[in-house]
Amino acid sequence: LRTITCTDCGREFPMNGTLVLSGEPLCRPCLEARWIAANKHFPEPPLKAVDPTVCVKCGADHGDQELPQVAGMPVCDECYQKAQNPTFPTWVKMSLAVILALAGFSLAHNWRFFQAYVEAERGKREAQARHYHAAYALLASASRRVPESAELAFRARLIAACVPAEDGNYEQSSRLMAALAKEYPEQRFLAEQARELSAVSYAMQAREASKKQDHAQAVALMDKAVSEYPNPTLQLERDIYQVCYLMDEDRSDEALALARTLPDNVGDDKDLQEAVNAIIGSAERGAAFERGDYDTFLAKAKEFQAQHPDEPGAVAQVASALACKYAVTGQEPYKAQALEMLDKAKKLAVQDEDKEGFKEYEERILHRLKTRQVISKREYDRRFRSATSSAATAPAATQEGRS
Amino acid sequence: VIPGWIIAYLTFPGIIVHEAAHLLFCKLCRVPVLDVCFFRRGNPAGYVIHEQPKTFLPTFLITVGPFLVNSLLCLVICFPAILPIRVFHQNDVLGYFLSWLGISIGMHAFPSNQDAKSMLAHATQAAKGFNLLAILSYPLAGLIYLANLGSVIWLDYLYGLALGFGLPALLLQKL
Repeated sequence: LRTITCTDCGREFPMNGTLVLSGEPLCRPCLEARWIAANKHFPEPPLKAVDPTVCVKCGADHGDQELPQVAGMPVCDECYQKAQNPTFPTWVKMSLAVILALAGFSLAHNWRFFQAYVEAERGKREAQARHYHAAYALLASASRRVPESAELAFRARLIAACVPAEDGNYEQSSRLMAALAKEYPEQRFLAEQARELSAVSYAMQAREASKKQDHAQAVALMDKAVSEYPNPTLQLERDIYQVCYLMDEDRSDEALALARTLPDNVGDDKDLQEAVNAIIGSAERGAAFERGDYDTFLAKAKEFQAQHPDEPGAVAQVASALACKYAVTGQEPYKAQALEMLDKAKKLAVQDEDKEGFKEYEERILHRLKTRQVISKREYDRRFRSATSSAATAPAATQEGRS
Repeated sequence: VIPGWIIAYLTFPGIIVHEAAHLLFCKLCRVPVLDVCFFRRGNPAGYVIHEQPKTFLPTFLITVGPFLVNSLLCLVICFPAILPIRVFHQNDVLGYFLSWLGISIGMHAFPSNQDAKSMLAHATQAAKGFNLLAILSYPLAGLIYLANLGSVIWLDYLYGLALGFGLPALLLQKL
């Protein structure tokens, strides 16, 4: 143990109890006196004097022997060895073990939540991809794992209502969605969803009607769809059927006027823009035919055929226009060209649907060439075909072939 | 403003883990340790007094050790609790306990200003020998000071929350 002499009082003290202020050793009472005299302000803080012969850890006095240091402090050999290899207290190790065991237990106990969550997330992604069968299987399983979750149960039922839609049964989906909307009135989107599904159901029926050339029915169904769920896309589809209907009724001028308003509602959809342009072209050709302007009809038909050289309907329409020209002029080259184009169209009509449409069209064109009478499809049907058979045998491909 | 000592008491497991992490890296780097206090009333609430390592790498590891250990433990402890509590809104007592524990540990992940100061003191010597890690530790020390300054606006708590609740949710969404 070492001692030092206090600078102020001159007494001797064990070194470890004293302090050093600006290099001067002081006992605690003298340091406090200086503190008061200096108005409680030292330019630098006093330091504790450290006896290099006394271990700071265990307090063992080693006489005059200076001890090795750890972090600048003297420690005895035993404490030095402990410092070289510090250990964690048992309570720290035990606490960590208990905490990790609890976390492990909690993970095992709550594993069903993890499974349900992963299934619900996957179900969500499947639903976003409109794979409702797969989505329902996942969400139903998630809901069974966590039956206490009302949200999962709701989501499973919501997807269950969408499943028939994936199979094309929008009507059934709409009914299920409407039932769900009644059960969960706070979920306002359900009622809207039910209306949208109902509108899609009408739209699907309208497409079927249109395929059968029953455009009047298609328009009526689309009117229901639009009233159920007012929407620009549905309105556009309704107007397209209306154009077709007007052309069926030999009101191509009205059809053309309506068709020309369609591009305003198309937006950026390239496919839709193309379809609308085709409808306008069809209406233009129909209007030219109806007013007897066969030069314009021929020019437009050729223009259309240039855009669709492999479509039998487009080629047959050139034949139709040439037959009109032959009917009014009696010039044989028109007839020869019409027959040539008809033959070309026949070769192109390889698919069953095309063949059927072509057959109907060919019949009328040959009649025109034979009699030099230009009559509309409607009139031809009235004279030579029963009303029922014309609807059944005239497929969509003849949209351009009614003239 | 809640006094620091109250926060220290409320989140004491984090302080214990913080100091244990310093101690762990001292052991791993074979750096002698004079004294360890895992938790106490006072400032600092815990400390590890160790020999200054001869090279900079152990100093660096001892400084950032709590960031690694506390962050990892925060994640591991909160993970089992997140779904029943946060997603399925279950009254799971163990879940609440683990959430508190995990967030408390995550809150004390940032090295203290004293840790940064010790690292910088050693980095200044090591950087003279163009030690890359020492040079990189300057901006890191800046970040540590900023993070501790941010604790005034509960940055440490937000970090714990993000790590304990945010990261597992993010990971689960990727499954």
